[in-house]
Parts: sequence; C-alpha cells; structure tokens
Amino acid sequence: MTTQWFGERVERREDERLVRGAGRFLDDAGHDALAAAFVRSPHAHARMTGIDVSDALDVDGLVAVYTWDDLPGRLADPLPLLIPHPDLTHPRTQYALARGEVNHVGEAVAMVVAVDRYVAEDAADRIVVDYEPLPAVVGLDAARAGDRLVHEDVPGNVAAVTTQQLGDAASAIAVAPHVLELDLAMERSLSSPLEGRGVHARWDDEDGRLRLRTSTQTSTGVRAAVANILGLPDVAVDVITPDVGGGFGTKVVHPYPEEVLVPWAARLLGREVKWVEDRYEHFVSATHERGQQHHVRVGFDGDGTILGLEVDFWHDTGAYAPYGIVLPIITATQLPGPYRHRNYRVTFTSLYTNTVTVTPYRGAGRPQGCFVMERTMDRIASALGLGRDEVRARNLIGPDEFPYDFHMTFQDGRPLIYDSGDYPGLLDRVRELVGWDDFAAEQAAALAAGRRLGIGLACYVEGTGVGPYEGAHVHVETNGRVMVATGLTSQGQGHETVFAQIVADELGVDPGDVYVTTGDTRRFPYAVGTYASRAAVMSGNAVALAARAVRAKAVRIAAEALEAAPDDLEIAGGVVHVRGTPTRGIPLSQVAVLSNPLRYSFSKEAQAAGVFASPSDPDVAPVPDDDEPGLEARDYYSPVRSTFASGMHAAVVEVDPELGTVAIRRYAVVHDCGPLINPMIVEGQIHGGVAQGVAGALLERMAYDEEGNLANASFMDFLMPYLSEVPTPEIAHSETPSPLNPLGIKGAGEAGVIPVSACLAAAIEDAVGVRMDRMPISPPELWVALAAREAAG
Amino acid sequence: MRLSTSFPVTAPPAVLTALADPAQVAAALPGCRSVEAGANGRLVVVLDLSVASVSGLWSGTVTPVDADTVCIAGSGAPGNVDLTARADGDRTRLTVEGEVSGPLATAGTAVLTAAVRRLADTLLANLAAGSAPSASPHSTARPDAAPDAGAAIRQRGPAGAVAAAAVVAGAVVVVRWRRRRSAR
Amino acid sequence: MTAEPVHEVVLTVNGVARAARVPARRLLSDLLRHDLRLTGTHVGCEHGVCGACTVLVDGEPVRSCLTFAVMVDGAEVTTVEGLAGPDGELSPVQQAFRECHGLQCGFCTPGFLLLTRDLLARRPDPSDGEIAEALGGNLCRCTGYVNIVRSVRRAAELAGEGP
Repeated sequence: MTTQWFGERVERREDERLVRGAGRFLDDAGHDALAAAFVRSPHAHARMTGIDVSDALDVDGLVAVYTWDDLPGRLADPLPLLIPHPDLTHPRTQYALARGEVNHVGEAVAMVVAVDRYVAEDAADRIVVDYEPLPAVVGLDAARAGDRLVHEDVPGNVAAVTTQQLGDAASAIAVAPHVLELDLAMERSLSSPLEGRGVHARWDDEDGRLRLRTSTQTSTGVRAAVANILGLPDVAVDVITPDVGGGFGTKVVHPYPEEVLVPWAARLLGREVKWVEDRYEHFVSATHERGQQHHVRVGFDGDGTILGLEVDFWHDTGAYAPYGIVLPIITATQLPGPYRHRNYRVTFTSLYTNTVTVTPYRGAGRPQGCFVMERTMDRIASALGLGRDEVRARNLIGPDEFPYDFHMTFQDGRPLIYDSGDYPGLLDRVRELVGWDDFAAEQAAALAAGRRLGIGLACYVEGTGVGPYEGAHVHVETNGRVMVATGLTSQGQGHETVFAQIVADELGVDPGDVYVTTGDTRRFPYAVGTYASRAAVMSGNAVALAARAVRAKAVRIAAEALEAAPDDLEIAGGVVHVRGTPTRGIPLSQVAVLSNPLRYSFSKEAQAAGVFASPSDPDVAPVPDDDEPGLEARDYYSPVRSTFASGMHAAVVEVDPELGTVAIRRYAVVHDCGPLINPMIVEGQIHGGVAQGVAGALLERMAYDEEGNLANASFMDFLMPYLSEVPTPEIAHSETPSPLNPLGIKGAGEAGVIPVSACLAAAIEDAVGVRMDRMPISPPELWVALAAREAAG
Repeated sequence: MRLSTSFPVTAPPAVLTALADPAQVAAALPGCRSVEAGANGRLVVVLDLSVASVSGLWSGTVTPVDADTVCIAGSGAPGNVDLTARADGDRTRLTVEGEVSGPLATAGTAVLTAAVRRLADTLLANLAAGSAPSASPHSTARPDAAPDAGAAIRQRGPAGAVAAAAVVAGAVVVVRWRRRRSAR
Repeated sequence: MTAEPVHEVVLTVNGVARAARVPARRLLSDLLRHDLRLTGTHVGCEHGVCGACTVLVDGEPVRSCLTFAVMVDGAEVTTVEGLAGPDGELSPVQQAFRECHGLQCGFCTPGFLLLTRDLLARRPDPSDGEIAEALGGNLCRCTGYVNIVRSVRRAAELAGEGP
C-alpha cells in the first residue's frame, strides 16, 4: 500500500450532491403519489366513542379514511415489542391506529389519503372523533403515585422492575466511613432531526412487490416488520433508505405506525402513497427520551474512594414500551463510568405515562447515568473538601486493569467488560486543555471584578459497536469501480466516505473509485441498523473483511495471470503488481474480467483481459467447486461484545446572577474512540453531540401540562439552539485501540452529548454555589434558585 | 370489507307517497340513471356512483326478503356490493350490513358508512323537496326542479357524496315502503 | 367542495423562466419542490423557524415555507440548484462547506448556503459577529454550527481568491 487513507481528513463523498441540492431525501420523490395525513388524538388519555367523517366527504380529492376497523390481519394487532426482556412483565405497544383508547396526545386515530397533502389535511380537519376523556398520568411523580393508571391492566403503571448488582453494596455502605444520599433528575427531550420521518410506498401489482422508501435508521428492520405484518414474503419487500436528514435515535423505532399503514394503503389503493411528517407531528408522535429520577446512596472512605454505590431510579417510558427496557438498562450499566466499583447495586422501575413513547435519543440513557455518577463524584469531593479531579483520579480504572469486568449484563445481553482505555491519561489531558490547575486564580480574579465563573468536569465510558453483526458486500466491476454495500443506514455520519477510505486501503484503490450504498435491502438484506454508535465499528469492520476477501481473490487470480507467487504481489493504484516491479501488473478491472469465465467483449477491459487468460486445464471446471464467478465477496463482522469508548469534558461557564443566564466561556473535550478513520468526521460528530448536550442542559425540555398537552410542540417554543447558543469545543483525541475488532476502532456518534449536562451542572454549581440536582436548568429556574439561597441567607 | 351501520331516518307521509313512484325515486336518487320494477318486488337500479375518488357506472338489484328486510347485490366499476338492509324501530332507523369489495371498499369503513347515511338522507330529502315546498338542508334540488331532480343532482350535486351501498340503502327504503303500501 | 381556483405564477428560477398554475394557498416551497421539481430546497418546520427552506427572492433571503407561491409572481428566485457555476463547477460557498465539513445530513444545508451567499454578496469579508448575525436564524441539528462558521470564513477566502 502506497497511500494510507485510514486516518486522513478526506472530504466527504456525500457532499458533492448535498451542496448542489441534489440529495434524494424522502420527500424529494413521489411528487405524484397520493398523500396521507393523520388525525391524531388531542387528548392524553381518552376513550374513543365514535368517528364521523361525513363532512370530509365533501372534500374534493379525498381518497380514503382508515381507522382501526379497517385494518386486516396482523395489522390490527398491537405493533411488535422489539426487544422483550424477562423483567418487562407488562409490555404494552400501540396499535397502528388507536383501538378504542388513546394514550397520548398525538397518537394516530385515523389515516386520511387524498390527492395531495393540502386536501388530506382539509379532510382530516373535517373528521369528528368523539372522546370521553380519562384521567391522564403525566410525569414521573404522577406515574409513581400509581393512583391513576395509563393502562387499566398495568398496576401502578409499572412496566418493569430490574436489579443488577456487583458485590454487596448495602453492606459496604453500612460500614463506610462516609455516606451521602442524593436525588437527581433529568427531563425529557427529543431527537428532533431537521428532517422529520416519512414513508413512501409503491406496490407493483405486476411483480407482486412492495417498494418502500422510509426515513429510517434501520431498513432491514422495517422490511422484516412490514413483511410480517402485511403477510408478504420478505423477498417481495424492498426497503430503501434515501438520504436521511438526521435521526439521532428516534428513527430507529420500527415499525412506526406510518411505516406499516402507508404500504398497506398503497397496496390496497394500487397507488403510490406518501406521508411526510410535519414538525408538530414530530413533536407528538416521534419518540422522546431522557425523563428519569434517581436516588443515590454512596459510601466512601476519607480519600474519596467509593466503597459502595446504590442507585434506584425511575424511568418514564411514555405511553408504550416498544423498545422494552433497553434505555434504563443502558443507564444502569453505563452509570459506573470510568471508575472502579466493587459494590454496586442498581434497581430501576420503568413506568408508563400518558405522553409520547420513549425510545433512545443520542446518548440513550447514558447522559442520565453520567449525570448521576458525576454529580455523586462532585458531592463526595465537596463533602471531603477534596479536589473534584482528585476524587475522580482515585477511583479511575487504571490502564493496566483491562479487560475490566463488572460482572453485569450490558444492553446487548453480553457481559459488561471494558476492553481498553487510558482514563488517567484522559483526565490529565482534559485538565490541561481547560486550564484546570490555573482556574482557581482566574475564578478569584473574575469574582473580584464581579463576575461569577465556574468550572466543571465530567467523565464517561460509552459502550459502542453493539452486535450482533453487520455485513458488507464488495464488488470490483470490470470497469474498475468498487461497489460496496452494507445494510445499515446513514443519517449524515459520512459512511459513504469512511467506508470508502477503509476499502481503498484494503484494496489499494483510490477512495474516489469506491461507491458505497447503505440502507438498501436490495443491495444488502442482512443488517441491524444505525444506533448505539455502532456503524463505524460494525460495518467498518465488515467492509474491511469483505474487502480483504476480495483482495485475496484478486491476488490469487492475478498471480495465475502474471505467473507470480501470490505473496510477491501487492495492489496499489488499482493495479495488482509484483512488489518492486510496478510494470509487471494487471489492473483490478482486468482481474474482475478474469474472475468470470464468461467474457463477452462488452468492454475494452474484457478484450484486453484475453491477453492474460491462462491455458485452461481440461479437467478443471471453468468455475471450480471452491470458487465463484466475479471479483466480489461478502463478509460479516460479529463481535463477542461491545467495545468501550471513553472521554472527559470540562467547561468554564459564567453565570449572570441578575438574569440567571449561563454563558459557556470554554469547552474542552478529550475523546478516545480508538484509531480515527477520518478525524474531520469524528470532530464533526463531537461538535454536534456537544451542541445537543448543551441544548439538553440549558434549553430543551418537553413542556407537558398536567393534562398531557405538549405546550411547546413547535420550533417557536421548543428551544433548539441556534448558532449563538453553542460553544466551539476544543478537542483532543486519544487513540486506544480496541482488541476486539480488526480495525481496533470504537464508536464516536453519541459521545459528544453524554457528559454535557453533568459537566455544565458542575460548572454552574461551582460558579454560584447552588446545588444542581436536575437538568436542564433555565435562566428563570436558576434565578429563582439564586434568589431562594439569598433569601435563606 | 364488512360494512355495518345503523342510523335514524325521517320519512314524512309525503315522502312515503313519493316512494311509491319509481320515476320520482329515480329522479331523487343522486346519480340515478334508472329504477325499474322487476318480478316479485325486485328493483333494478342503474346509477353513476361517486364515493370519495371512486366513481363509475353501477347496477344492482334490490330483492325483498321479508317485510322488513331486503338484499342488495350489484356490481360495476366502483365495485361489488352484497348487503342486507333492515328497517328498524318503526321505520325510524335503517340498518345496513354486508360486504363491499372492489374500489369502493378501499375508501375505508368510515367513508362508506358516512356515504350510506348521506345517500339515504339525500334521497329522502330530495323526495321531500319534490313533494313539499320546504327543502331539506341536504337537498340541492329545488322544488320546481323536482321532475328532473336526479339530473339536477347529477349536474350540481356534491362531489364524492354518494356510495353504491348508500344508493342501495336508499333503494331499500323505497322497497320497504312500496311493499308496505302494496300489502295494504 | 369544488376544486380550488388556480392562479398563474410566472417567475424566474435560477435564471430560467418558469410558470405554474397554483391555488392561492400553495406555498412557494411546494411550488419549487413539487411543481417545479427543484427539491434542493428543504422544509424542516413549516412555520418559518428553522430556515432550511430559505431561498433568495429578488436577492433577499426568504423563507419559502412562509411565502405563498402567488406572492412571487414576476420575481427572480435563486435556490440551491442555482448556486453552481454555468459549467456545474461548485461556487465558493459550496466548495467551502464541503472543504470544512460544514454539513452532515445535508438537510439544513441549502438554507445556510443561500444565507452565506447573501451575506458574502453584502459583506465580502464578514466579521464573526456579522456571520453570527446573518446565520443566527437558521437551525442545524448535526454540526453544532462550528464548521458552518468555518465554512463561511473559508467561502469568503475562496471568493476573494476567485476570478
């Protein structure tokens, strides 16, 4: 290999089309399709007693109105429970269209199909649904009280209770010299990608095939769900993920009701049908995350070493639990962070509420876990009068302690074992990057000038690259193009670029000759999906393995053609040649021709390849038993368990006590996701993650009122940050390879968001001395807290 | 798809009289091309149907089963209909049940149900308008247009407001009262 | 309910004369995307907050999701498809966003590209404050804006170097 693409800041392949406005997002096609719109519940909890569409009949262009009564077969059943768990004793999932009862504002009640969206909404507006409102359960306090029920047959609103433990935390705390108890909470937010969800279906009656385009994070998952629910053979369903305008977790849910209803209607009507989520719908029907309350008991010794930790927490799963209890399991298992724990018990209760269903949003339970652990660390430091960095340093797992086994079960059902890392090294670097050691003087000087500065620090470990597998297909065409397909999807992470970099290195070609397709079941039918910071690890390794197999085949074929030993060959610049003799070589395009005994002279490569044709052995079949035609290979990567990335954030903030505002003066990130495939892209992921973290810490929340109305369901009222609210982080990378995969890489997609609430809470607390036990914190809340402290003297 | 609906109907004496006249019924039935009396009280109905975006020529028969019930069966471009209709509660309610298939069935149960009711209401209101000076709010036929109310509705009637099933349900009302009248 | 009355709209889009017959309530974003099939303009919120749908109308940035198509009769509209040069070469603004990784999913990007084009037309060498002012009303969920700001600075450089 003469050029190494892995590790380079390669410009993205995707951008050529995206900056021209030539991307293909869901709503960029199907202009003549019928449009669907949904009648959604205005009540958080109600019985439906009737529906009258009479007035809609007068809307010119109306095609159909569907309710639960119209749904056939499995489409009339509750949607699937994606991830069952033995402790999920009361799983409840929604119907594709509400059946007699609605459980959150925004639940789909009726589907309207019309000639265009304007008309569909006209008709939807004229449909009258009769409701008998029921008492709504909104928020964790109401859910825990249990006197009102979301689902009549779920006592106490409890979906699941789970405990995991390491050692004996209660006994350790009982004998610990110091014990603290804390209550910590985090509120709801949502992914809110700039492009909402969308589904576009076409039924081909002649071929008996369904083509479904959906803005999803898992095309194979949607395909399996749709095929099963609509009673179609898997092979008759093609699911294609177009360009996706962001996902951040919410688009991994599958199937959303619309993903089965739209193709069903398309088949029934024999017409293309498309539904494009509007922003209000996104707020009230795309999933949310983050709402949790936690109670912590921690025992520690005089130097801050944690002896025992007990955490009980309550997770708001919303109206339904299609994703099972994955989120609280992640909180429970990622809460320990980079610290040595000998005695840890965690118990969580997952509770239903009459609000939008909760599934992972970037970070997925980790921001809450990190908030709990890091706030606990800060409190221990404060109780002992020790430095916050010092207490952390005492508890960090050392670089020589890997693999570090927590003897617990991670989100993927595999053992929670950290594979590698250098946590003390990260701590040193983040302290340096943010100016930790000099800050006391800076703070004092600022205070003297009437300014309230504070510094905070937060550390995390993130399980990434969860299995079970991803696969890839690499095909060198006779024109020299390298076609790569992997089944997982892309939402802006630059997969076309980084996978091309990996393949370019493995095959000795230019990344510009590598064409990557993701999320198209026609090209690669086996895949899991893009979530849990797994794409680079899973598909990255899969494309590497598939490319290696192609390389081996290319070398074998070229060796025969060149009459050279395979070991003497290398590939560079798209040519297989004898090492040290670049003139004695054969281009991969011609190797591709040679790989297929059928050589019609469709191309000059095929004509030229004849030159290298070796004399055929009359006793050997043109395609021997152990061979296949074509210069292509398929391979899968399946890890024994997750690989654990890590990082630390530190921030300096300035609080204006008059206004309660928080300004971020410095933001430092050190990050270890193993070797970086493309540092530019990793940094972009961190920038975006930090922005979402800041949003979750200071701005964004779901403002539900007591009746379960979402009062801020628009970008006017939901405070997504603009340019002016987001810091420019300083970033340093550490690269500790994972021993678990061929490329040594770890995931990077979610890292940026995880510690931000913990970090900013610590910095605000340091600035003004008010305890930050729940996030987000708004200026009025902070102002009230400061005023209360002042009043208390 | 299965259709099952029950709704109140209003048929004052003047309408009952009008129902005795197939020509008036044909004129009052939106989209109707013809209503012809067949053997044993059977009616043959031909009409242009339009429900939501489904439209086309449809023909069917209405066959008495007993004093309160008729079977309606027919087909055409809009689809196939196989329904029974029953007058309940001393002629104050009409109950329509059965199967609808083809394009009509794709419009959804709620649409067909509403269209059936709309049609029955329109038919009765048109008949009332044709036989009395006060027009029903649903009627688009002026009293002076009564002789060709059907044509007027075809030209000016609300688009997408008439279902095959509803037509047949309307016809049921006709048959129901015709039979009662002939039984006297 | 009878079919809505339609109105003829004649406008120039990216230098090309276009015409369409649309109902009065049809949005400019829908005219561009679905009638003229220029799908580069994206719609992120339909209530004028995110700015993804920004286009230039007679040179001024306008939110096409808050503009009726009939309002641009006779106007000159520039969309993202009109940014590249006559031979398809990327404009400095487009080049800069690619170079600086100023986009991830690319959904909000057309709005930012047009705002940047407008800014640089007015201020060839904008200060950080001017960049924040010009771009501060558009939302991006992927980039944290860091590389968008870098892209604007780089676009100014490239435009300065240009012919």
